[in-house]
Amino acid sequence: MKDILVIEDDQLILKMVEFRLKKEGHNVSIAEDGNQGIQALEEHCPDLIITDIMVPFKSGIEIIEFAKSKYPDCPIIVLSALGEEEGTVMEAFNMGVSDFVPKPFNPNELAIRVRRLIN
Amino acid sequence: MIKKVCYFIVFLSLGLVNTSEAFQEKDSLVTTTFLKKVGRVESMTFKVSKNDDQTNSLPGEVAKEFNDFNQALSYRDSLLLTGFGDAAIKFYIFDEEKAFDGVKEYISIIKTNDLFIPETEIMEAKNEILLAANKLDFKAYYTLRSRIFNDIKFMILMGILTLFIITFLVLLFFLTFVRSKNRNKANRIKLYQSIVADPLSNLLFTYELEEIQAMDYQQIKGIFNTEYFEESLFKDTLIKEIIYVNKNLKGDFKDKLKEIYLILKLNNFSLKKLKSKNWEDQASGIVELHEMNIKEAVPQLTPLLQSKVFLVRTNAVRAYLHLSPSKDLKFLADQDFPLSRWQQMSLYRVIKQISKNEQVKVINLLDSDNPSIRVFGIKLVRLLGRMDRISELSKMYPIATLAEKVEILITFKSLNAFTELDLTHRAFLGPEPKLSVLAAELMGVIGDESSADLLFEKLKQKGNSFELLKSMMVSLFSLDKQKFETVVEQQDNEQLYKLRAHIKDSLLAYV
Repeated sequence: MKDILVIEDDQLILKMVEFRLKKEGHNVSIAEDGNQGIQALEEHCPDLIITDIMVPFKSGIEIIEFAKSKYPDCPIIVLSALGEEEGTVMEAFNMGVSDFVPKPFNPNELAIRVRRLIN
Repeated sequence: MIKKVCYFIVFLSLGLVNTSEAFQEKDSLVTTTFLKKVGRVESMTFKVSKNDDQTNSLPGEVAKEFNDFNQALSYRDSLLLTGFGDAAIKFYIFDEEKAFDGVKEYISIIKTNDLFIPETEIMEAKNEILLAANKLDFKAYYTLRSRIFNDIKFMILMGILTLFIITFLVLLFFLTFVRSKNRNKANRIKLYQSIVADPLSNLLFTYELEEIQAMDYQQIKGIFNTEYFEESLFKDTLIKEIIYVNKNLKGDFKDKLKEIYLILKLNNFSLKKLKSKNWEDQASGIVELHEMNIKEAVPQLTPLLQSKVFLVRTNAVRAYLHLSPSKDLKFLADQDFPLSRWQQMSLYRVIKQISKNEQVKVINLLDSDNPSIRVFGIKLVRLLGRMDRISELSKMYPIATLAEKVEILITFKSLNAFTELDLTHRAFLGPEPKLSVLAAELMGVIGDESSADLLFEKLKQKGNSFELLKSMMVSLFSLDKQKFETVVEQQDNEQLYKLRAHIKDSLLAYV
């Protein structure tokens, strides 16, 4: 069982991802905005972070920057409606993001990517 | 209290003035007269005793202190008559004995500074006010009331004010009511969203598609397990959540969501919205059926294609295009309302998607009675790259409107319509400047030697606009460089020299 932090402002998507990952047997903690995400990261180091790029209060880029400065080895998956070719996503990759899942997404595919990164 | 302070200040000032020299003899008489007249003076008392320094020479029960000068005077006189010949009045100001000169000074100051108003004067003043009031005419109250009601301007003003206040109160009540209702609705939606999330996730991630297909209404309803299930707002929220998830998820989850939507008979709920008199409900119902791909909704969508409400009509056309098995676009050709540029863009996205799998009948749009539909049809020929419709455009050109002609020439240029050179030459030589410019540009793409000759001759003429000159020069340069140079040298025109420099400059050529 691994600790996964999911940062996503859309509650329904957040629930879906949480439900799917819990079904995989992971311990999932959630954050609905950037501030909550940073706070959760200050409290403990998860085994994996899944974050949206556009979240309230702090952007996904700021979250990634914070996570990488504190836990350089923690893998991060970006889950976003932005296209892979967009500047922000490229910036995220340059900062050391492990994977990118564009929306609309398949939760089963996300679960597989999570499994691959954690193992 | 203030008055007392003032008197006290006067009293203090007495100690600084040599009173015996400041006043004449007549002052004594004035002061005595004044004291007799007023009787009482603030902070002053009068003591009747022996007329020397032994103040208590009179028997204790005989010596008396008075606040009223007249009383003191009467008492002294009575004592004199009864044999106390040395009885005299002594003056006390703030309980300190004063000589008569001091009294004169004190009285003089309080009179000069209006610190003393005798009671008699106050009474006189009161009487004057009463007398003045008696001089006014008496008006009965009912007379005044009738005068108010007879003043029409005043009544109108009062009426407007009353109406304004009533309207304000009604509006205030209405706004409060609506706000409270909306807040209540928003809270309920939030509650329903929280209720829906877990069962929906459960259905999507726990059950396979076949298992969901095997379920019935009661079973799925049981998974949601909520008392609100039959409420319209709950169903509405559930549909919106299903559509939202449908947009964000890929794979067989879309099929699962559609199954859930159908088993719960939410399609009937959406179809019911189409018959609503509220346009917002209609628009929302159309979007739901479109997103959930309910092809059975096509007959119910048909009447909404001609809706007077822009949003309903646009959504209905998009949904109809997407859901209808027939892609002949006939329904669009029959539209009475003009298509806005925004609508054209929105429809193009749907048609582009459809045209990947099957060919849409754009020709029906070109035959439409609605000019904006015909323009959209011409744009579709261009955007979908329909070379097979070029001849149709050529046929409709002579009877087309200016907007259509412009689109046709742009389409010919975009599709490199070499077969339409004669039409292009005619357009170039025609009277319409905008078409001439477009035709000149088009000749640069599809033109031949005859086109170059036409451009050469036209460039020799005077009075061409800069826009036309520019397009002709660009086309002539691409068709025949020699003629291009010749015409510039022959004409000796400053504009042509500049255009040539611009066209030949490799850096500026595409600016």
